[in-house]
Parts: sequence; structure tokens; C-alpha cells
Amino acid sequence: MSWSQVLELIQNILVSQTGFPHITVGQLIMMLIGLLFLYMAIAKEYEPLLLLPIGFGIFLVNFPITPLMGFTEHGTPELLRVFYKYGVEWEVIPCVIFLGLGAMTDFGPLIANPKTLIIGAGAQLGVFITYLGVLFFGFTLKEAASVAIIGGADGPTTIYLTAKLAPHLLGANALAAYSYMAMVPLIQPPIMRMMTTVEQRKIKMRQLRFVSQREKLIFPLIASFLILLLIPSVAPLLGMFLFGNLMRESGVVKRLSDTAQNSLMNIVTIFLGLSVGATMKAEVFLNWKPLLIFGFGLLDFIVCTFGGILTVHIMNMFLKEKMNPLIGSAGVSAVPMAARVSHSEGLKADPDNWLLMHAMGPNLAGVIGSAAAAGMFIAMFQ
Amino acid sequence: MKKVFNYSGVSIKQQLQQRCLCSNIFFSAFKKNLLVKSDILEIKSDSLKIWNINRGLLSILLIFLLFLFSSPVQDAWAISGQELEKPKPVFTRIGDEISAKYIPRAKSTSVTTTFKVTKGGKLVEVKGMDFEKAERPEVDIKNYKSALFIIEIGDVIPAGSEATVTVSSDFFASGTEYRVFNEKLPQPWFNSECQNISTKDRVRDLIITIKDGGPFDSDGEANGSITFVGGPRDSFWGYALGTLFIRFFGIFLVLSLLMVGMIFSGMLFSRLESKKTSLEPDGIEPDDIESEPVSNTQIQENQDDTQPVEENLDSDEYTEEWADVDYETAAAIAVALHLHFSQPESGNNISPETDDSAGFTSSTGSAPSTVYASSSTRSTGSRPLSQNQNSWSNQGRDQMMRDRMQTYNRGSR
Repeated sequence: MSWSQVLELIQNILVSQTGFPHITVGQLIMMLIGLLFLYMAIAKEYEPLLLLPIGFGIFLVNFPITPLMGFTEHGTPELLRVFYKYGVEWEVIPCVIFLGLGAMTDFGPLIANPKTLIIGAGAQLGVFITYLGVLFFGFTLKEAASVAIIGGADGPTTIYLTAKLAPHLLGANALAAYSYMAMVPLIQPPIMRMMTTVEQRKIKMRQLRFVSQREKLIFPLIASFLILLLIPSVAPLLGMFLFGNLMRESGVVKRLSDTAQNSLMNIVTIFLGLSVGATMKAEVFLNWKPLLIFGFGLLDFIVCTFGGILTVHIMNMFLKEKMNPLIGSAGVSAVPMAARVSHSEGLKADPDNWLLMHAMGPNLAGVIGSAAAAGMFIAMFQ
Repeated sequence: MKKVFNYSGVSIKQQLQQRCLCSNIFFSAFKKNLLVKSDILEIKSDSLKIWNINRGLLSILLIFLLFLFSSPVQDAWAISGQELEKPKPVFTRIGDEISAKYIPRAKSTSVTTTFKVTKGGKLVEVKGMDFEKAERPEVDIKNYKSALFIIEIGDVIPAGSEATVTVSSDFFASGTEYRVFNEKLPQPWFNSECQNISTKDRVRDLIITIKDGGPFDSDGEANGSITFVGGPRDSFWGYALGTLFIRFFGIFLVLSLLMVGMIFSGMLFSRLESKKTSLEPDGIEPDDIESEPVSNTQIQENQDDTQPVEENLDSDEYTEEWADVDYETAAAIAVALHLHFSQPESGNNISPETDDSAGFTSSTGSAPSTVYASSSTRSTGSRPLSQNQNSWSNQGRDQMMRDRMQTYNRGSR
């Protein structure tokens, strides 16, 4: 073999088998974006369980000629494509996460004060306003619905709906949802203060009544019956959620409940994060749409917070025992962060005002409300 | 050289330059706002402090709004979604009818549209047509959720006479129109003024009468064959707004029904619980405890009971055993025990006056089956215990709150 042949071979290897000659500016930008999310997850601890795998997914998938998100010559999906196809595209992972969330959730505060369910509905205002706004900017109905649900502040719901209606927006929507969920303590307080007077913030609410185990046990059954009859399209999400909760409250399948809450949840979170991150390839992601989605996502959160507080104000007009309007902001879901924000704002107004458990009611109602909104959107396109 | 214009007649390049200029002005103004310490800016800064608005967040919002209202952006985005949702009809012929099966825009499930010529000719073929070919500035693609169709009718006898086409689908609504496209006319898009009739199983028929060689006939000649181009049209914004309101109030309806269900079940369970409590012979009523006199001798005996325990404690052993417990935890445990044993009412009904003292476990967790009332608690009467609170009790509550929040902590998922 002559030197020229050796050099040719090396050249061929370098060109066809290494990534260097193939790397583009877009891919480098995406890698930086991936690193930014990794920084947010690791250094700032913003939603690390999701942002870390998403960030690394973005970083990984933007290396050129890597066999991760494509198909082989024989049509076999590559590693991350397998996660995406069977986990996200088949809508399995968001539902399994909802199963785990159901197993983690104590509906006691909501059962003790069912009125707070209305706050959960009112806090979906932003979802519908954003839906309109996004339509105005040229998005299709399906895209608009998937962007609007970001304001529901529920990651799995956003991923589920986006995977169903506008899979090409999955990465941007998931990132926007999780980023803003992490920023709830920054976004909500100014709106809460703007919409309430100091006196209103000092309103003390009656201690929640005791909720028996039997009552908690019956809740998933009643909720399934009523919600799934009215919005059958939300059955995969809410069905799993309420099943998880039934396992928890029944007390007879502790092992299953523990598995759903911990091991299963952790496993699917890994696959979900990586799959979502892997959808953000430079050629798909680098356009104006994600920027607009981020902008509207923020607007969505703001209007949802506004809607929740406004609902409490309206309810207070008719209620004998007034509710503290600060708990309205917790209607955006984002469990339990939004409830904590309500609580801390209440404490700022009155150090003896403990709103956390009261805010958990609308917070849990927000989960049901956002899932119901997702169901409404799905039904709209059937 | 060819210049690229958008609808407003200004070149995209010019608009981008304007946008960059705007951004520069904005950034320089923002920089000034941060650095220059003029009186006005101080006032601005104070007002921001009042609202406690994060300036970074505010600047992101402003940049976004500036960016949003620059028109090239609006034109650039709409492309991919529309492309993905483009209907791709598959045609099947059964006898004299041709059916098109396709997923319309803004739908996830397929619909079927059937074409037949009911009078004056024979249906030869139906084909799909790309909207791009018929795109005009005054026509919004969003209004055409179904595909555009080219319907070819033959055997129109005599030539120049009329044929009637019926287009049926359960996807059509009462407001659905059938629009015609004829590029040979000065105004190529117009309404066919079809009849919209409801038939069985929610299927609607759009009945259109077409004259051979008339304006609906794209070949423009009275030659015994008709080429009819058009498609069903629904008002996009009417649908979007209508469905928006219905679905938003639908969520209220669903959650309101659930609320009613929960209220009823709550009442039922409360009644059952109270019945159960009244049937229990060993249940200690709070009123009994309150009426039970506590004599000075008994208090003395209690004090005597506790005395030996304290005396028997080896000081070194005590220190070793509790060395790992920090002051905060100790305070939290102390307050938790205090609140637990001083809970003035049993389980279900806790009065608003004493709500702050009731502890968080009573809201949803397990309430103590037997509740003891200490003389010190009784002495406060109906006065809210929150008035007695100090930083220790707050700290204790905080500790309990954090423990309790573990239940709700979804671990950011």
C-alpha cells in the first residue's frame, strides 16, 4: 500500500466516519442550548429531573452522523428513536407518569374543600386565551392547542397533547412547560400582588375538615365516572392518574403503589427526558416557532395565574366564608410549587396565615383542569 | 434584481433592518435604564420594586413583544403546520359514486366525502388538488379544512345544459358552503350558492347545479363535459371562537359536576362518620373532658409522676442519646406534641377559631382517635391560639409542613 493510498484511506475515514466535517453551525448552537439547560438543571436546580435528561438529549442528538434518532437502512429505529417511538409517539410514557403522579397524590385537601375545583377550571383561562393568540400568529388549530396547554403547567399533559396533535413542536413545548414550571416562584408573585389588596391577602380560611380514608378511596371512582363520561378522550391520562390514586388509597397494594411512585416513575422519566431532548435537532428546532412558543408560554402562565385569582374574587362575591384570593394562583397545576408560592405570599402578608393546605386544593384541581382542557382539545379534533 | 416583498409592499430585507434598528434602540435604552442614575430612572426603578417585577423577566417580555409585532415573523411561521396537515384524499369508486377518504385540517380522524351526479350527466372522475395552485391573497387556506376537488362530469346532454352534483359528508355543518375556483374569471373564487340539506345519520348534502360552459365550468366551453373545481368551506374563526367558549365553559361544567359529586359524597361520609362515632360506647366526648374537674391534688400527682423520670435520667446518657438532634428539630417535635395534645376538638369538625392550632395532620391525615384537653388549653377558651404563637411554634409548623409536603412532592415531574 502506497503512502497516497494510506492518506486517501485516512481522508475517507475522516470524511465519512467522523463527525468533524459534518458539524454545522446550527448543531453547535443546539449543543449550546443543550448545555444551557444542563446548567439550569445542575447549577440552578430548575426541574432537574426533566431538564437534565432533556438537556443531555439535545446535546447528544446534535452530534452529526450519530445513529440515535434516525432509522437504519433496514428501517429499524435507532436507540433514541425507539424510546421516542414507543414511549412518546405511542403516548405511553405521559400516561405512565400520570399513573405515578396519581399514586403520589393525596386528594385530601381537594376533597375537604371541593369548591376549589372551580378555581382549577378558572385557571385554564390562559390556555384558551393563548390558543386564540397563537392562532392569530398563523399556527394551525392543532399547533395552537398544543402550545396553549403549556399554561396548564403540567408537563406530562403538555407532552401527551403535543405528541398527539403537533409532534413537530414537542421539544419546544416540553421545554417551555418545564422551564416555566420551574419559574413559577418568579412569574406568579407580581401578578398575585397586583390582583389582591393587603387585606385580601390576610384572609384566613377555615381549617379543612378531616377526610376519612373511605372518602379518599371513593374519590377516584367518582371522578372517573363523572369526568370520563363527559370527556372520554381524556381517559388515557386521567384514567391512569386516578388508577394510581386508587392504588395508593386502597392500602392493599402498597408494593404496586410504591413501584408506581418511585421505580416506574424514575424509569419512564429517563426515557421521556431523553426522547423529548432528542426531538430537538438543529434542522427542526432552529426557527422562529420555538421562540414564539416560549413567549406565548410565558403569557399563558401569566393569564392562567390571573384567571385563577379572578375566579376566587368572583367566587368570593357569592360565598359567605371568603377565600383568600392568593390560593387562586395555585390553580395552574405545577404541583406543589404553585401552592408553595401562594403559601409564602400569604405568610408575607400575615405571618400567621398558613395557606399551604388550602392552596393544595386548587393545585390538585389544576391537574384535573389541565387534563380536562387537554381532553377538550383532543375531542375537538376527533 | 428581483426583490422579495411581503404583503405590505416593504421588502423583507428592509423590515429586518428596521427590526435590528429597533432592537438596538431598545437594548441601548435598556442599558441606560440599568446604568444611568437619573431621577426619572430612579422613580422607574422604585416602581418596579413596588411590583417586585424581575427586570430580567420584564426585558424578556418586552423583547418578545417587539419581536412579535414585526410582520415578517407572522408570515414565516405558518408554513410547516399547514404542510403537515394537508389533506391527502384517497378515492374509491362504487357504482356511480366516488368517495374520498382523508384527514381534514384540524382533525385527527379521517372523514369520508361522497360525490355523485344526480341529474344531467355522468360522474367521470374526482381528483384532489393542491391549494397552492388556487391560492389567492383574499382566500385563507384555514377556511378550507377539506381538500380541493376537481370533479369531472361527462355526457352532459344536450351540451350547454345543467348537471346537478351532490357532495355528502357527516363532516359538513349547517354553515358549510361549497366554493368554486375558476382561474379564467377575474374573480376566481366565489360561492356556489349550493343547497345545504341535512339527511339521516348527521350526513349533510351540498347540492350544486352546474351549467356546462357556465362560470362553474373551468373549461369554459359548452362541450358536453364539465370540469368543476372547488371545495367545502367553513369559517375558521367562527369555529375557533365558538369551540373556544364552549370548551372553556365545558371545563367549568365538568369540574362543577365533580364538585357537586364531591359535596354530596362529603355530606354522606360526614354523616356516616358521625353515626359511627355516636355508636361507639368508648368514645370520649370533648364536652366530657371539658366538664371533668381537675383538682389541685391530681395536678400535684401528675407532677410527682414526672419527677422521678427526670431524676432517673443519667445526664451523660441523655446528652449522648440526643446529641444528634438539633435545636430546630427539637423545637419542631416539642411544638408538634404540644399542638397534638392540646387539640381542643375531635376529628371532623374543627372550628375556625382554633384552626391554626389544629395541626396539619387533621386536615387530611389521620386524626387522633382520642383527644385530650390540657388545662392550659382550656384556659385560653375560644381565643385563637395563633395569638399565642411565637417563633418556636411557627418553626414547628414549618417543620411539619415540610414533612407533609413530601406527600405532594411530585419531584418536578
